[in-house]
Amino acid sequence: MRVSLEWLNEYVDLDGLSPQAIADALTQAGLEVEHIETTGPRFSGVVLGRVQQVEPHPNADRLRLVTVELGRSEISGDDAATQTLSQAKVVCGAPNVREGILIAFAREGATVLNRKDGSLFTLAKTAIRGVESAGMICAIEELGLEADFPKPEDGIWPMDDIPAIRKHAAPPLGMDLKAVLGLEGDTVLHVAPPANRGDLMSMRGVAREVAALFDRPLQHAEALHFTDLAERSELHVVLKDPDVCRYYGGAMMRKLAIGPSPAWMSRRLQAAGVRSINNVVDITNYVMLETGQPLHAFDQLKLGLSGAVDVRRAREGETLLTLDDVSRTLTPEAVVVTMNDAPIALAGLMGGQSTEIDEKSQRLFLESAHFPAVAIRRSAKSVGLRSEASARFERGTDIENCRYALLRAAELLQRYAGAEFIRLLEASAPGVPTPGGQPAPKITLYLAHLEQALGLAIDEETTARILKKLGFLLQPATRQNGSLLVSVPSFRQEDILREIDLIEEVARIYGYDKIPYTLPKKTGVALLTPRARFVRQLGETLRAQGLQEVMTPSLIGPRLLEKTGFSLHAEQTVAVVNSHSAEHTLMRQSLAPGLLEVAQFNQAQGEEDVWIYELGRVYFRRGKANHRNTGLAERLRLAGLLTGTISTGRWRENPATDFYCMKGILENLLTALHLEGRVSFAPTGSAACLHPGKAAALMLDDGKTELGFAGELHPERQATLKFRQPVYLFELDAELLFKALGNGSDIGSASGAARFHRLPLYPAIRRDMALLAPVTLPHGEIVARLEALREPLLREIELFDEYRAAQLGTDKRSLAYRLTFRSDEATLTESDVDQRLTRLKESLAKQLPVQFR
Amino acid sequence: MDVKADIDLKKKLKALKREVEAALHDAEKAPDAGAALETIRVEYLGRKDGRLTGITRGLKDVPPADRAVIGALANEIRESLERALDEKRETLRQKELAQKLSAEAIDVTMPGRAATPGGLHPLTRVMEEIVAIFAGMGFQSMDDDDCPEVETEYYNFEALNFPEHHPARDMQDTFYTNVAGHVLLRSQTSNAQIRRMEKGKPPVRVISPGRVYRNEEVNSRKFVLFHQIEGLLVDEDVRFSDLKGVLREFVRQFFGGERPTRFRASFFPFTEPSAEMDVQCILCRGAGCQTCGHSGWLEIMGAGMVDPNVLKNVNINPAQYTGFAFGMGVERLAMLKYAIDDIRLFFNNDLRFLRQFKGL
Repeated sequence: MRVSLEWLNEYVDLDGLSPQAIADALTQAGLEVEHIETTGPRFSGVVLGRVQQVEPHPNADRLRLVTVELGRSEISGDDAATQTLSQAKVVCGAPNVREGILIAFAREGATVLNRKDGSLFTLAKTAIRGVESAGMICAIEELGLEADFPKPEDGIWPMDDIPAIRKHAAPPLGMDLKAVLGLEGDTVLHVAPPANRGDLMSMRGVAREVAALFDRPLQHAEALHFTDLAERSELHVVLKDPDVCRYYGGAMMRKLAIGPSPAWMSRRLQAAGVRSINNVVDITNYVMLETGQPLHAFDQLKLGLSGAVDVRRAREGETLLTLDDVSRTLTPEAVVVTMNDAPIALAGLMGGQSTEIDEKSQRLFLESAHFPAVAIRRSAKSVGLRSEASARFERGTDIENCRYALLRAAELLQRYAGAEFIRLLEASAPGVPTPGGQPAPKITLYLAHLEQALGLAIDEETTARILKKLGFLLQPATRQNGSLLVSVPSFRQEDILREIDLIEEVARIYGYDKIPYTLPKKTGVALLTPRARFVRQLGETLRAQGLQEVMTPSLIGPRLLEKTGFSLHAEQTVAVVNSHSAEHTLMRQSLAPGLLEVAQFNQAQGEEDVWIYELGRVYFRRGKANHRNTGLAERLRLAGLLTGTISTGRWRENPATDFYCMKGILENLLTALHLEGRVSFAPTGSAACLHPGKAAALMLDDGKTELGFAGELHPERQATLKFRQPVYLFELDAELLFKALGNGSDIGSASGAARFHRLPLYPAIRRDMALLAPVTLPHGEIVARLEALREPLLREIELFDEYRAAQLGTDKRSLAYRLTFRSDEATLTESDVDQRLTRLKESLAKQLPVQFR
Repeated sequence: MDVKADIDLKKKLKALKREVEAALHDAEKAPDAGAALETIRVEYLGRKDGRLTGITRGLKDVPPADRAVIGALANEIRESLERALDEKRETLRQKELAQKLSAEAIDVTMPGRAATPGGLHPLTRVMEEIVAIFAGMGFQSMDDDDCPEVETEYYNFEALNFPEHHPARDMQDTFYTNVAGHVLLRSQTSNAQIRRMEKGKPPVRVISPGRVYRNEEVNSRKFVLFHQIEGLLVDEDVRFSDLKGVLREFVRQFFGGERPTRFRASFFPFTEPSAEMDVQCILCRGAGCQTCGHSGWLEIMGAGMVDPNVLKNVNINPAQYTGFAFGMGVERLAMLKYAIDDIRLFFNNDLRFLRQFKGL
């Protein structure tokens, strides 16, 4: 909302307060001032002058030497100044300069606009072709007024026909041009009232805050009275539904003279951001801005002189042609004002065209009603319309304010539109007390509670003063025992319901900045939980191995899925139904698409080596939702992507990333979690996005639980996504990993997974074992068989070579293992180990198609 | 013979000494200096056939009275020659070593080679930092799975004292989902307050970081999702002044140094009194600039005393307990701290951007 300080000054004396001081105080008290605007023309130092004499320039044919008359009484200073300012000689190049015309004269030191780009510049004394020029005669563009006046002839701006000048008996030569034209500026505060303060959507409401903040008297509205005219009327108001209208007042006026509004009113409306239309429309807007109560003017001759006005919900499919020339088809969400059941306006939003005021209107039916905030909010939403009126109704208006607003408008209509007041028609909905008929609610405020809540004592006198300034009434008889009995005015009954609400009122006016800084009296212990340690360990292990953490959006779009070749489990999908953007409509079920997009983006930026991971949630619908339960599963996932090389500097060749590189990283991760012995990599061809021959499922504890996958992106998808090198992806369910750690009970506890194992007392003996095996026989199987032989002294099995060659045959490969034997009881002998090795080889050869080399 | 043999022997010894010294001097220049030195050692000082040994064999002809003197001289000459030989050998070894090392010299100005460790995403980094600051003030961090992001209206609005149809529900553009029963994407981390207080009675002193969603048009300031950190303290005798003190301490720790802060009145349905906290503009230090909208202040969080209705909703007696809550935007704080000018950078994940936030 825009608050003109010129206007505000009518209700509270702002003398001595700078706009910045007012803005700061309002902002601190919760009425945020977003911007301070200075209105009015940008030029300064320009006065009205008259061309006295035009002479040729001695040194230029196209230039003229002009004497400008500037009046005599303009400056009351020393005589010399008055003398020099009474006239000025300037050089002028405009062809239309002629003797006797009134012009805008910019003196030396004046600020005017550059005609080319509108920038401001300050005039200095200059000499043009050897003749001194003491100022400038302005074109309209140099004043930036071309939008405000009819377009004059080219050249300088002749001002003789300007009405504001003609109305003077003698042109006020030497007078500041802004004053002459009535264009003095104003300061306008752009304020953002909080959602719960409908009362601040008015000039009077803002004035009340300012009066409280600076402890200045507030100019209260005067009570208004009208005498009814003895004119018969068959028009009446009957309200049936209190949910859509609680009070409806209508003022009947006649003998309207539609015309322009007084200049001061147009100016104030303009400052408030409202276009001036005619006196009647302007008065309804003016009163709304002043009081916060929206009004609507119907042409009563169009409305009809007899019948019943009501407010009801629209019927499905009902139509109404509104003032903006749109025919609207309505639903029962919309609320309409009706005349004999026919809709004539969208209540609190916009009038209908059939009853619109025009230049010929003679009779007026002026509406001031109380529409409940919820009804107008829903109605506005259903028709997709917002207006100044609805903004006020939605925040909540004051039912006690309706009649005053109506009478205030009637007063202005009488004065500025020649109208005669006939009478007021009023009705309250069934079950709604008539305005003024309900006692104000009362709240007891204990000063001890205030001190307890704020950590600061505010004395009774100050507290009482603040509350009174805000419009609360105090019952003096009950002011005792450090408490105040406070009655809440009608315009605060929506947001002030409890003692704590009053405490906030006192605190914010007193000033939050006066409340001290303390620390809580009691404190506690904060620890890193097992879950937090687990989550941090995941990232730490990956970062140490060169992976950079990324964060991708959890709200994705179908385009990303399509591009990366992923799909969602349809029946488990959480979709957003009201997104503004097609890129953000679905909750992700995998982190992989996001990582692929990040890799693609970085390759497009010229980064070939992308090693990244993300720890983030995925979302699945599982059960039915109810009031307290979404029926969703949100699971933490850990995913990574590797492509390019393991970069250790460019000047030597780096190994390209491959499957085993990713697997090694994952093995280190599992080791860091003490899960290394419990997870196996099983070949899988199932994942559509992966290379069928280079993909594995990570299986926990004998293959019972699948933790996730690791594999190379399918080469076809690699090509579609324009990756220049193979891309390796993994994605693990962190919840399952955490569960495998006993839901954290294994982390950091004395019985946990991290334990000391006694260092070996006796030396180990190592033996190498090379074998020729079919390529289809996995290493994992060989190791599993070896382990199953349960040789007690065999402590480690390490693969140290894989060899493939033509002479072995394409279906064979050689694998070389280093076996470590050790006893905890004694030093082993070479022959003992050799015997054990031989036994192992013999057993293995019986079980597997292998030959030892 | 006695005296003659005596004098003769002395002469021989001294001549030999000069001869060896000369040979040693020459050996230095020999192509294979090591071998030359060895030859000299064998020729002169060899225990069996060395010439010095040969000379000292003549000692037996010297009268016993002089034998000790000449014997001492012979020993002295032997030791001196051996020392000279050792020195030559050592010099030679040093020289050879120096040559070898010089040949091994590398260009130490060439770049080092190590796999570069990855870094935290700046948002994680800022969240961990904030969590640590509040941990120092006794605020326990809630676990990442304590609070859902897809939430019911009850936890996002109703329990937080947003009445149905209250205009406040329009303050945020909330994403609603296809899950029947008004399931939405949480618009604030404040659901953590309710989730935590439902789990246990006061004292409650927690902090809860997480992702929130707003149905906004994406631009340099706004994205459809961002991160918040929610804080909640509920105990006996908690005052607004405690809120001010805790948050000022946070600002000191997070931005460093003494920074002016201010608290403005505001409105949130779940706090009363409500406040917004501003910190003096990091960039212009209060002088007014584009970032702070020429106000000299930057809004960094919303806060307030927990509304009694919220406590009632979780069956905590507001007459016995009071508390405060606050919520701050992680992206905004990170942008201010690191002078980042576009929120989309956090979600584009340009590695050149992410790599700037490593280490201290």
